[in-house]
Amino acid sequence: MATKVNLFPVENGDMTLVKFESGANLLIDVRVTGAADDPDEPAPDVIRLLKERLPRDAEGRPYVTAFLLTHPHADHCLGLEKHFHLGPPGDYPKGSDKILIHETWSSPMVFRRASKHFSICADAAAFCREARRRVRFWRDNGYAGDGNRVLILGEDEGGKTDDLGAILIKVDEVFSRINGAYDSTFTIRLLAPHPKSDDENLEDMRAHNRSSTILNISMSGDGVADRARFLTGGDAEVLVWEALWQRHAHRADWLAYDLLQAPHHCSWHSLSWDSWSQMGEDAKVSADARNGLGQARAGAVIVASSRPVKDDANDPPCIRAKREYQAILRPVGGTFRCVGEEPSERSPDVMEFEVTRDGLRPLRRRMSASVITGGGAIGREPLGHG
Amino acid sequence: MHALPSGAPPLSPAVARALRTARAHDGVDGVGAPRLDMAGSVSVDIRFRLGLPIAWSSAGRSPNGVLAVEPVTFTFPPDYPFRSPQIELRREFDRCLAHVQPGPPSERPQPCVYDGLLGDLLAARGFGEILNQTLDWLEKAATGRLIDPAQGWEPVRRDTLSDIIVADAPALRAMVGRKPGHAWLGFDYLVCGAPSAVDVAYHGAVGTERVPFNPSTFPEKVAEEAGTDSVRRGRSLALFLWPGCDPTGQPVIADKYRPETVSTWAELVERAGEYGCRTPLVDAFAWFGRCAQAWRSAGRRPLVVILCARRPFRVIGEDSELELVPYLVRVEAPRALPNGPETEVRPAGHRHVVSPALLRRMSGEDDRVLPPWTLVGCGSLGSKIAIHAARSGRGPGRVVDPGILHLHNMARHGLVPQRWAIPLPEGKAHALAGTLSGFAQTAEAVPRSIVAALRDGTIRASDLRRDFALVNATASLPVREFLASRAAADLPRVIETTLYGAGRVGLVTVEGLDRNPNTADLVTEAYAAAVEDAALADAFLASTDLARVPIGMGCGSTTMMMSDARLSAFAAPMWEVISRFGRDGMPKDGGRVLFGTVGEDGLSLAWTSRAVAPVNIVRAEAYDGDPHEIRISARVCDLIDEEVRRWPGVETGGVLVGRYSEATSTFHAVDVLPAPEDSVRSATEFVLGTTGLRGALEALRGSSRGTLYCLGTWHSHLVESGPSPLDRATAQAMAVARLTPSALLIRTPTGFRALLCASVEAAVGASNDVTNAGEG
Repeated sequence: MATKVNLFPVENGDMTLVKFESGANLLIDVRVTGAADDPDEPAPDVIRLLKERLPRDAEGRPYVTAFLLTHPHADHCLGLEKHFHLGPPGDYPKGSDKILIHETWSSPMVFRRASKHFSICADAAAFCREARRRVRFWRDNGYAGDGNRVLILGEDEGGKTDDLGAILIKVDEVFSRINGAYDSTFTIRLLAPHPKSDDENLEDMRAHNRSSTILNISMSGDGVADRARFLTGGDAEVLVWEALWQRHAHRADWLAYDLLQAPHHCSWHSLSWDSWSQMGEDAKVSADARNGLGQARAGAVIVASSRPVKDDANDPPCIRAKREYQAILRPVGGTFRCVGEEPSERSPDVMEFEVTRDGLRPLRRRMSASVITGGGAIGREPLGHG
Repeated sequence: MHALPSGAPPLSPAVARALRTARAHDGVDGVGAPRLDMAGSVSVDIRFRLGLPIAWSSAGRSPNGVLAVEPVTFTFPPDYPFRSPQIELRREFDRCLAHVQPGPPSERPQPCVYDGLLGDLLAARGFGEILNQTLDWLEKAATGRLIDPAQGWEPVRRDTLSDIIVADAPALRAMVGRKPGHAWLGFDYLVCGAPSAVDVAYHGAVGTERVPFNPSTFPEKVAEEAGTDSVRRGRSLALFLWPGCDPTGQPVIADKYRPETVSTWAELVERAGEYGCRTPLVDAFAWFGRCAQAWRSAGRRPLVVILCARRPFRVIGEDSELELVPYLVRVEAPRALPNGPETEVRPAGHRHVVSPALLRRMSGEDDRVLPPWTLVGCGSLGSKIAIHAARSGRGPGRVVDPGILHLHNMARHGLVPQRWAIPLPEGKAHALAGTLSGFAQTAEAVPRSIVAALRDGTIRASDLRRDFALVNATASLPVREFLASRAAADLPRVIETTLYGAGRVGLVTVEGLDRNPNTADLVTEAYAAAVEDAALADAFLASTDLARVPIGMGCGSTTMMMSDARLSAFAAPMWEVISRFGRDGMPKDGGRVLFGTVGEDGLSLAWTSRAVAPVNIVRAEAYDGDPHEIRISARVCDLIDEEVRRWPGVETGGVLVGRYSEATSTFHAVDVLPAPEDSVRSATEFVLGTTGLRGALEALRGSSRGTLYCLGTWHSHLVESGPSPLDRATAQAMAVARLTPSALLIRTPTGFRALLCASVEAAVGASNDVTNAGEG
């Protein structure tokens, strides 16, 4: 099974499935709108597209080996409660075809109580409850099986993660396990979130975006380790990328990537403290943030998981950010792509990458039989024997 | 070729659609301007943007030279889409990548994008799929994955070949050892083309036996029919060469794909070097050259050279990593190579010899070698079953039939008359065995009746020990009875196949473990089963459709008339049944009765299968020493036990129904009639009444079309005891009253006892009212 990275077209939102060579898969964020919830909606049915790519267990239930919520925003978890089973695996509603999550990966934010700075949507609240349930299960039993497992990525500043030991991954650590098993086909470096800084005055949106989980995933290809790196960081803002560069400038390889998911749907705020809509071309790029996001390897691809990037005042996605990313890519011969634009803005489709022994490569979409015309055939005909 | 001028006829709608499809394809970077050639074909360059690994993509090409944006020319013939477009790559594209169509270096390389006919793919999936396949091909070429170890090594593509060499690949591979070597083998061939023609084509078979020769024997090894016929026979030699190990002791492995470019002897020697067999080629051919010096040939003769390349993994479609690559060179006296190293060498096509393994593969069978089987009866049904079997590589190991294959048999026999053959009468067994040998399968022909052959030891029990079944396709009642009479240890299980009712019903019976139930039990069960189905009873039980067909002046044949097609409609599923039991094992829970019936539409064929439990065998006591068996079906045992339970404390009884075989002195009891109302039951005796009994027996006779009848009576004993004096008196009375032997069966608390009621005198006139024979 080849390593694949699938980015789903969810407008300004993230929904990324990484399928490792071992067969394990990691879903990072979800945003379900469109046809999955309303058949008349022209947007793609991303849940169908997701399920087509997921394995099913002995009872026919689709499952993800692990699900990571980078941070509790609706554009990263919308539809979670409706399409995923949350709660003890024994309570799975038969016939619902909900997706089972064998292991949840979450930031320590799930331990935080709602406050003026921390109000979250219903799906995010459901996820936090589920993560806490699993932590409780682990505390009570000292072990957990499929559907009860949990990993906490990063330490809580309030000490709530101090006793978690085996299910806690600390920032800067590299880990290779998923759903309780060691996996030789990937290593992941946890780059963020860092324990909260003292700056309490940030507005609530910023607080969340600051706390996004950032992973650099090193994937094997055709059995050869570390053939491609995927850097993904939710909605992490300029502050975070500056900090990352300042901490890791002397070991820039930690931030090197072949595939980068442009943070916050190609937002200018990941690269600059200035406002694009207010300052336009006068807005300044943060040199440290640009360095943090600029460790592109030869031929690297930066993907905006967003609506089509237009030359306008919108942000995100921001045309200025796109230009900055293109500038980063130019010296290494890389490519900037936008999920919302391919194959066409009118009907975007899943963007897929494969990791081979020769590194990351984009998968060109094959024309499906239903859209092929020519040779007199529409659809397909069985071939007989004569 | 020129670009379409303004005012040129517009593109055909199909080509225009194809180009629109190309523009819409995610992997297409651009579509060039269409060009029209004189023949009316339209060529267009389509640029594919490949999904290369990103590092190569940034460099613009893969390390093996495939471009990140690769131009491909599609040429649409005037009759597109009835014909598929031709696909051509850049002239500089590396031909050493596998899956490139063979062709001269002067032509642009053509990728082989689809494993099949491109026209079929176009019709089935449309032009978009051809684009998909082309993109796949280019991406695989760039990443060196056109050869997929899981699929196997792609043999050297060499499609346009005029010479065909049939060779037994496994036999040749078996000669290959660790050291490099060669073998001279025979080559029997047909040459097509007038003797004076420059271009002649050869079609021949390479033998598997080594052929030694020296200067004096050489001329007889290389000889061709004289004459002016355009097809002539000849024999020559084939040189098979294989590689050895390199200086480090590792086998020489040819792991680089090389397109077929050999056209001269010098190039052949070079290619042999790449495969590690140059030395054996040079050494062996030196001997050939020396022998040819004294040879006086009247023209050029073919010499086959087969190189063996050891590949890094299994060759596609083979179970070996050894690829055989044959060539043909035309040699001449006295120099052998008329133009020295520049003598023309032609790549030749290899075809497998017909082998059971090849036939099994073609039939979708697994490659297991199954136990053999014997076919008894090589008539129209038997021969067809045998040929179905042989075509799937599982033909019979022995064919038995005393009959002669007459001309009139050609109406339906599985064998096909030979052109020019003088109509010599030939034994059916030998004729069938001869045909099976054409399928590379050896069947022993026994031109005798199975009855005689088993009696006189032509076929011994030990000969049949390995067989999984003996298939009786004779439709002969005596043969069935004879087979039923043989001890279980002496015969494999019998599978009987017979057609009835002018081809409206087919019957297959399969004996159980230790031949219980046996073939005669099973046919009696089939009679009982058919009684319940009036349509089946009419076609099967009343099958009397034998007719006398004139086959010559004053000469006729008695047979069942039906078409060859109808016969085939039954023969095919019958072989399916047999092969299934051969493959999956014979039934472990009794026997089987399968009915195939043709529907009212005369076309549809429905099969039903029923399991038949083993019978209970009771030996009957007889006064005159005439041993008889009563074979009681499991159902009859159940009915008797039920009746006994209904009458606790008294004896009870009833009438036994079934079939009697005089040939085997056996009663096959398959049913019981209840005791008449006026029967008397007491603790010491049971007296069978008569009220309504005659009517019931008449009704049975009618519904079973006379195949089932009264065999005698049964009654119970309350204690474990043999026949009482009263029982013996009754038996004697019955023997006098009835012409046929009758059975008197006693159910004791633990088993059965039986008395035979027959006098020798009475048995002489016994009738054996069995259904008429079917076609076989």
